[in-house]
Amino acid sequence: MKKVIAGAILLGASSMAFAQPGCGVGAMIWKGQSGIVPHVLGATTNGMASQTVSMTFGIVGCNTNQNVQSMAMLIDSRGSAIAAEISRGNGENLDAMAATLGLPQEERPAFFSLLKSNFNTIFPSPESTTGETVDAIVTLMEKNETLRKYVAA
Amino acid sequence: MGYPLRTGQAALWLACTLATHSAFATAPQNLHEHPAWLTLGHYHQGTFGAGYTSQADDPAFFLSENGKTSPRAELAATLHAIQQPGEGNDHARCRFPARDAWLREQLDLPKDPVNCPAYDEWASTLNTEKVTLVFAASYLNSPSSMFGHTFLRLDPPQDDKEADLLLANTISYAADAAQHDSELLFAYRGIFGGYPGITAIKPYYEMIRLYNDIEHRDLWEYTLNLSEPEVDTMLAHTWEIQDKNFDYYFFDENCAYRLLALIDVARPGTDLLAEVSTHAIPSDTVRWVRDKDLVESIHYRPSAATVVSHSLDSLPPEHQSIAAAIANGYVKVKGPEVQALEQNDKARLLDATYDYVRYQSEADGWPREFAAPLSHQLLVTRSGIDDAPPITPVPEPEVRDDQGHDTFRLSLGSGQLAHQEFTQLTLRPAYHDIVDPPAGYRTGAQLQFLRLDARLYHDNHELQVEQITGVEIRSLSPRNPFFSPTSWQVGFGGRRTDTGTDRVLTPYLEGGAGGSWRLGSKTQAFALATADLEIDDDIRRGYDFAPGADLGLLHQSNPFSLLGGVKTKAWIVSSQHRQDQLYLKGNWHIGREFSLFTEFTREDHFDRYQSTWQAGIHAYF
Repeated sequence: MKKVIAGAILLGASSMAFAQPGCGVGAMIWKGQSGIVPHVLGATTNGMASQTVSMTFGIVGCNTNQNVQSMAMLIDSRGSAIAAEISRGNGENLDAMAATLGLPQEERPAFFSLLKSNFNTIFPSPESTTGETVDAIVTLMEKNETLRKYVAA
Repeated sequence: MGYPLRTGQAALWLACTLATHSAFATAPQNLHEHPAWLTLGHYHQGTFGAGYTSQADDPAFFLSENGKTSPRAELAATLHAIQQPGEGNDHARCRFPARDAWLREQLDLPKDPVNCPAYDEWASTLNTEKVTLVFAASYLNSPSSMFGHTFLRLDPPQDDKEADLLLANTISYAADAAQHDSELLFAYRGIFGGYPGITAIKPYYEMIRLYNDIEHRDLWEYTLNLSEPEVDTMLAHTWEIQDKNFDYYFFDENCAYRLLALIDVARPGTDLLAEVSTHAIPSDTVRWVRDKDLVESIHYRPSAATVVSHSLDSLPPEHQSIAAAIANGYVKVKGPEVQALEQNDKARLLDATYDYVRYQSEADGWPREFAAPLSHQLLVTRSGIDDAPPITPVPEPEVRDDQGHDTFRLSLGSGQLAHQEFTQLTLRPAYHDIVDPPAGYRTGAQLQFLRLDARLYHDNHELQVEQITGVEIRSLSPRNPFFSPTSWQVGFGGRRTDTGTDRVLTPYLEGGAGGSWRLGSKTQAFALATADLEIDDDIRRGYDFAPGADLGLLHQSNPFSLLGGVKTKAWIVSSQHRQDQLYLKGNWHIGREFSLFTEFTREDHFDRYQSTWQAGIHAYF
């Protein structure tokens, strides 16, 4: 597992400081924290990609596994591309997302089609936040016999 | 005053040296001059061959007090430190794993494993098999990225099923500029020093977001053929320099430079840094890496702008109109025009429209209240269509940036100014003129700096500086129903100006903004409003200002480039004369090494007509 969460850990080098351990994504504090949770769709940016992000994940909370945190970070950065790829059923960002969760190739088509057919559940409104999106995906996977093990806390 | 103290230090040093002699291995006489050691310490010889200085600007990078200027002292101190008993994060072997490995190799010291928890965890998390040099193509709209940008990607083993290239880590070296610094201050401190440079490690998807999505720059990925031990050495040295300060300079010690040093360390003898003279333009550094046979494979990653243009272009014209209408709110996503389409066409239309709306939100700041609900509707509708075949991928450009003409240009020409014959020599250190061979460069973009035009007039054998161009930037990008970019230009330097009686060298500042429209696949017409300022005591009131206009045509193709048009400037402060020009520049390209050029200008100024023409050859190095 350690390998795939590389992205999450190494961000520490420059743009992010880790607060006390044990509280998952919510414990990551970004430099220049603005307190505004960005929306996944139609996010407006001013060229400072990670500056506007504050990952206060009330919903994902403290009790989650590191893979889900890695997925959350990816969605936070690539949310609008991932949303498009979910609606299309494939794409490299979706593959990266499956990789953060440790899904082997053979289980990905089923995972992608599960996401696609539940687009409305994952993104119920244009105002969906990263936290809500992650939560919805995890809930969908928990209800699925084969995918459940990848999001076990 | 300090005499006794120095003696004391010397005695201490002597004692250490003696201790070293008795207990530990010592270095042969000249080992500190070994190129690999000099590379590891970032040592460079002074201009006149005297002494070495390290480019590291951080005491934590040295184990010896004199390490900054003495490779010998630093080597002795390192050798001493790595032979001390013990281990753990603070031990020299853990702080300087690359030096440690190299010295042990050179001196046949026992290679006992050492326990370095922090370094070991860092290296195993990086999980690197291959290293890829990533080049972000040039981007004119920010001075800090006009020449492109490079960083390294650490690729995980290919057989690792849980790895993914988007999640791979990247190493980049950048100026640690304060957020609030203005572009001007950024430029100043970048050129003259003052910013600490830092090594940053980020996941590749963050870089894709920044360069592909926000700045709309294509990325070229050059996977290097470094072997596994070479990759390990590079990582070990990255560990040594990360968090260490190396002052950042735009032109030479920049993002590209520090990465070249890492490659030099990985494969001793490569000596990429020897290629750097006065400046290291990222696209040039890519050329050097390519020419040293370091590249194994190349991959193209189009920017969001390239992708959206491609997906819109792939639609049939009538569907393009529907896409534009949806994006602008004239047609509903569930409207009859969309419902009437066959499923696969509908999927493609929805995909292209979403990509476009997303692009406009990022690039043009479309309001969220409009863009977000529309995006959501597009995706919800799209998710209801299954098994639509994906569109063809964006074709890779035939000519890569590193295959474009070389950036240094030398020109020799001869011509006439109002029947006076002259020979002209031009030196242009960087980078691209709008009429240079266009392959590998952005269409309609021009960036020249530190260009010198000198003329020898034959009649009186007078040598004159005709123009010194400090910086000249031009960006002509065509507008269409989907995109409406502004075309603009800015420049400053010194140029000959006509005072009515004489031609004097005058500092100038010029700028312009307007639009451009495509006339054919390789031709565009542009119209710019311009402003010119000249300041000189030879001008009647000390300065002059001219609002004006520039209307022209630009054709760029592999065999030739053509720029022609009319310019008018109304000098309103001092001379109070209008200056009207008809101009034509044609370059016939012989490969990408040479161009034959010809220029003609007909000018009406101070109520007289005057022609200048010139022809000659450009050579690119």
